[in-house]
Amino acid sequence: MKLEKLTEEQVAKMDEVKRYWLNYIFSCKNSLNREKAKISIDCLYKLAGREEPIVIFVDSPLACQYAVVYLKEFVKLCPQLFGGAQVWAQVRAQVGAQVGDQVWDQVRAQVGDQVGAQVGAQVGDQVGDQVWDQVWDQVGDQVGAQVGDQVWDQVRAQVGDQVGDQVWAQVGDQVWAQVWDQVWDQVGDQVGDQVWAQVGDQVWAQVRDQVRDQGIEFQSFGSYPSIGDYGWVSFFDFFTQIGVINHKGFNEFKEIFSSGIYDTIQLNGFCIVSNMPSKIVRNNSGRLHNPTGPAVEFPDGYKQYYVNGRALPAWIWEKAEAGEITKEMFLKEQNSEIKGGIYEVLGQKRMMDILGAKEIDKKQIVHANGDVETVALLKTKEKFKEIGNQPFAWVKMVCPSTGTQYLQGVEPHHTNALDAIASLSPFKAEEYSFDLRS
Amino acid sequence: MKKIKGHQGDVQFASIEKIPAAAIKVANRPIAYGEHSGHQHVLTGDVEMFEFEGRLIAAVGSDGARLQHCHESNFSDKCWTTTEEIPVADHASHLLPPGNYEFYIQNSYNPYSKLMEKVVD
Repeated sequence: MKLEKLTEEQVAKMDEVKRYWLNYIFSCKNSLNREKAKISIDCLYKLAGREEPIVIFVDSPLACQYAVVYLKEFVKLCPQLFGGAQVWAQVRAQVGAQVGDQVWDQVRAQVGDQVGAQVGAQVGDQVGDQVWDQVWDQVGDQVGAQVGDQVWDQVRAQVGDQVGDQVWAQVGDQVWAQVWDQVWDQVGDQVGDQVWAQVGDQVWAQVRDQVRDQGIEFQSFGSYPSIGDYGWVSFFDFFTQIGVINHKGFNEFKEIFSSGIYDTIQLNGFCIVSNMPSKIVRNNSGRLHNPTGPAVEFPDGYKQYYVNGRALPAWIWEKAEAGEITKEMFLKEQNSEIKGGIYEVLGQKRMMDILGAKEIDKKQIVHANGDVETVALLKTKEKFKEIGNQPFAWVKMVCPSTGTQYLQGVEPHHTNALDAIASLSPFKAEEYSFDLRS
Repeated sequence: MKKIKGHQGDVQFASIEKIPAAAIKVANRPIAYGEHSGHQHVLTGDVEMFEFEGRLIAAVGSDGARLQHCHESNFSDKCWTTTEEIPVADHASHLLPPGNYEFYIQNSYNPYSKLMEKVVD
């Protein structure tokens, strides 16, 4: 039977595949399977015509960058690196101290977090166990592009052609274009956007800024496998699961991808592999967002902080927790993104307490079920340049279940509390009456 | 039929006449989930869920459905198909009669982005 359009079952399968891949990363329940990842990385290097690398596993993309710094120091300090186990054992002790002196201060101490502390030991142990068996040409020779080209040629492009051939043979141009677009829109694009555009790209940018701030040369992350692959992998996974394709290369890549690799730095002779995040918090739009703590955290403790997709400095959260944010500090802050971050992190109630607000209007709502609700509109006395020379405005309501008072931000033009609360819902003010409330 | 409107925490809902023809059936899932609290608003029982242009719509069948607010630790896959009440987190549950409903998350205005943003409790 010809495929005229996707069946109901296939449409449901699209949703299932999309959710599977989103859950794979966002559940934060998956982590690196080192054995599987080592086999996978070896395969990719072979694909690119390279020797099997020494694979160094670390727990965050920042740790990947530090690992390269350590590796470079090893190269500088160990010209006898290929002298065999005995020589290696001698130089390793020496290197440990020298690395400690020369790199530690620059990397770990400057950063002051636990990531650097772990990386030194991880690199030392993992390199030490394997290095004399390996071919080392030159650390710093990035092979990521070469691996990427091979994956593109031998997997991604081919599997795309296979999907095209199979579906086109069955349905012809018009339906094929519709099916491709539909699956891309519903699966590939959505997964890719949520994972890469909203998370992966942001995390990369922060890592890059952080290492550059520390005077460390940023090393590009490899394209395959990486956090950037979720979109196209989910897209072809759908066609595999509905039986349109069965591409050996893609099936193998999917296995590689399922080994819990978040990112890699692919060097000649070495591959640094990052574990998956242990925590990702997003808002309803899928943007990284956590007003109460880090939005992204990796197993080694590396954290990034975001409000509605904007990366912000950790001090906002630290000072908010310590109760150290004052009205003066808020008013003096010149950076409007930081002020916006403070607004989110403190929350409506603390923000209102700090800035002070007066009641503008109060209304009673008699709901369809007989409940009587009182709502109040509050505004700051002062106006603020960064929000268009307007006051901050809130509507105050009471939860009928818990009695807790809630504040929600409203547009500053409101003068009527009922209009203000209705503006937060899809209902008009005259419709704002509920049959069921809790 | 009288339109039913309801409000449970940050979730609001209203009955609608019919499900848009282009709506896509999706797997049943929480209507809203609080990452920090672990609380979720879930619709359980005789219900199918649909999405259409960012809207979340539910078709409640003849056995009815229950809108519940519970902690994720008290919820398991077998809860999806029953209207039995799960231990309440904060907000009392509501039994919904057969019909079609659209669900909304209450907004909050962010003066910095000048946008309405969905509230997450």
